[in-house]
Amino acid sequence: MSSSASRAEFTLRGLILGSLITLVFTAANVYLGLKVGLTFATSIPAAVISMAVLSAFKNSTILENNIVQTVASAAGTLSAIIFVLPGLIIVGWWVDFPFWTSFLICASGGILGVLFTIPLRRAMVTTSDLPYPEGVAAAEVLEVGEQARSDSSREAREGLWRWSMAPWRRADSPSWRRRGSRPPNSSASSRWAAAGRPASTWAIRWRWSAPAISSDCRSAWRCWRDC
Amino acid sequence: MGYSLALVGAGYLVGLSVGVAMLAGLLIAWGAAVPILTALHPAADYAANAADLWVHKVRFIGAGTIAVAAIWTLLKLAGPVLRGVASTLTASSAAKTAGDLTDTDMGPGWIGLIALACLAVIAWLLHDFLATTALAGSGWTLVWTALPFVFFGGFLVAAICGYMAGLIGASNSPISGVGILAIVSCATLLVAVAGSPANARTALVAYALFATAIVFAVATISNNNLQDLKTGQLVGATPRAQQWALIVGVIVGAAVIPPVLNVLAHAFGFAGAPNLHTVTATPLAAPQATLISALAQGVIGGKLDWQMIGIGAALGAAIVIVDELLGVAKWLRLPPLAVGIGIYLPMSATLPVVVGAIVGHWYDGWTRRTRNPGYAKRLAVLVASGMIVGESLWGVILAGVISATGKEAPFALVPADFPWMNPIGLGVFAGLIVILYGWMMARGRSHL
Repeated sequence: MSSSASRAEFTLRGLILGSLITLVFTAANVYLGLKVGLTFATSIPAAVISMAVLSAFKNSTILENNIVQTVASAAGTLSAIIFVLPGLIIVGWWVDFPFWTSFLICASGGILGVLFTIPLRRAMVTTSDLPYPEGVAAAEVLEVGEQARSDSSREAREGLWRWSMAPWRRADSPSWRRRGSRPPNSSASSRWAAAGRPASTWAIRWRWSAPAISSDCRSAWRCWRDC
Repeated sequence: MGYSLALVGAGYLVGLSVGVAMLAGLLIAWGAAVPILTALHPAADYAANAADLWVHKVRFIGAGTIAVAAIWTLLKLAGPVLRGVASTLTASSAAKTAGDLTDTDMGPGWIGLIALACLAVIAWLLHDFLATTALAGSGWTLVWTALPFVFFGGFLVAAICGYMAGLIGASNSPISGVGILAIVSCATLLVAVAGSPANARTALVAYALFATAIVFAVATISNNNLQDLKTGQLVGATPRAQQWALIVGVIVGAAVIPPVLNVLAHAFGFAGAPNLHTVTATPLAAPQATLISALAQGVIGGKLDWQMIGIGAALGAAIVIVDELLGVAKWLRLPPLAVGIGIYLPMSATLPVVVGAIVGHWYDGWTRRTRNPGYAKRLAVLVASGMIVGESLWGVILAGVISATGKEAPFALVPADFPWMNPIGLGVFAGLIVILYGWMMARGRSHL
């Protein structure tokens, strides 16, 4: 696997974000479950929301996104406890839900559930061909988020690069501009080396950058059409 | 039927075999069980009678089938599960040295320590619960009955729920059916140990519910967790990190649930609760909790109707045999658990899965004739995932609006008795499926 530096996975940021999503999802699921007897799936919405929030951070990864999704869906699903726990009020034993007792029922049972799934993972995930439809859907969401993240950062980098360096590059290497295609895919350092000219004026920058933007738009459209 | 596109998407992802098995379950429930039962128990209003019999009789047949199918599935899985336990104990150190983070679990030392802490807390909870009741005399006997039940029953339930999440997805897995099996076996066990003393019957019912609540917490978490671990496997995550994250999530959720429950209990109250001390005229229905309390009272009071569960169990055994024969004949398999789920779940949830599985099978056959079958199939997985994602996001928004407005159907376009509701709904539903598949086929055809 990749090095530990690129595996920003179990972060405090992820845990806090997951816990915040949990607050909302648990409350909504408890209410819906008691009112109409249904609860909603939490993994995928959690993945989508965390994707949106984490995209604000440059250094977030698909693995961190997965952790947020994991934290949030654990609690969202725990709210199914309302299929049993209110029974104690319905049979007239409790008048309300004592906090510490209810908390410890959910926490001890839930943590035991986490521990039980550790050996079960090897039997039912690693060495099994079960379809896991929602697990696959959640992974697709995370993958799309990852692509969007790398694309946007690459586009942003490239856009930034072109914006500032366009005058020299256009002047120096007009061949690809005439062809109307994207610049040849050279490494950043060689581009810097090729750009060995003093900074030009804003007017020139603007004039030379406008076609670069339109070419960005064209390539974005192609990408959208092809993907 | 229901017009859920998410279930159509799930139908594509689960495949033809599970879809056909659920159709078989649906036919058993509505083609055989309901007509027979309505003939045996005739009533003036046929439709209401059928719905009532389905809730109070047919679902128990489904629960019985699920029980037998789940036990059979677990027996077949016993080998892999035991190997999984063994390799968890040995693999974590091996994986650490090999540096393969995608197969590194929480260390066995931590697992043992946390498990012991959980069991100590559960033993204390159970004893504390009994201390002030008429059952205090036999307190430790009952604790030592319930504690192994929570541990071993919990492990079985975790395996069943994880398997069901793998089969049809966590949000469709019939977790309330597992709750029914848990409460019936827990109450039966307690009656066998403590008898059914008249002066302590309510206390015993409450104790059974209390112990089952803990098992149910295990069930809900394992139902979701194996699915999360599958997602993690697909994106290359570290299982150990996910497992710690799950524990954090459980603790946060456990802290949120009691206050929310208290607010709702005070604001609305629960239908059927004797000490209903609220102002509202519409208490919360809490259908599953009502059913599970009724079952606990039925078993401990000796009034439970075992007939339906027995029929379901016999049916489950028959389906297991059919499935094995189909396996020998190398035909399409009929997973027994999926048949049981098809009997248990309402038709509105089953039928879209069946539609999705059949349309998806036809589409997969079509892709083999395209120039790039891999692309066409990947597109279908994405579209099916999109259906599930879209609906679950709308589910969150809808839950928010329902909570904010207090209306059951805040986006209702027409009144509930609008006569053209079903034809229009069916037309839109079918139209959307045709448009989506047509779009996919156009893309699949043009893509090289």
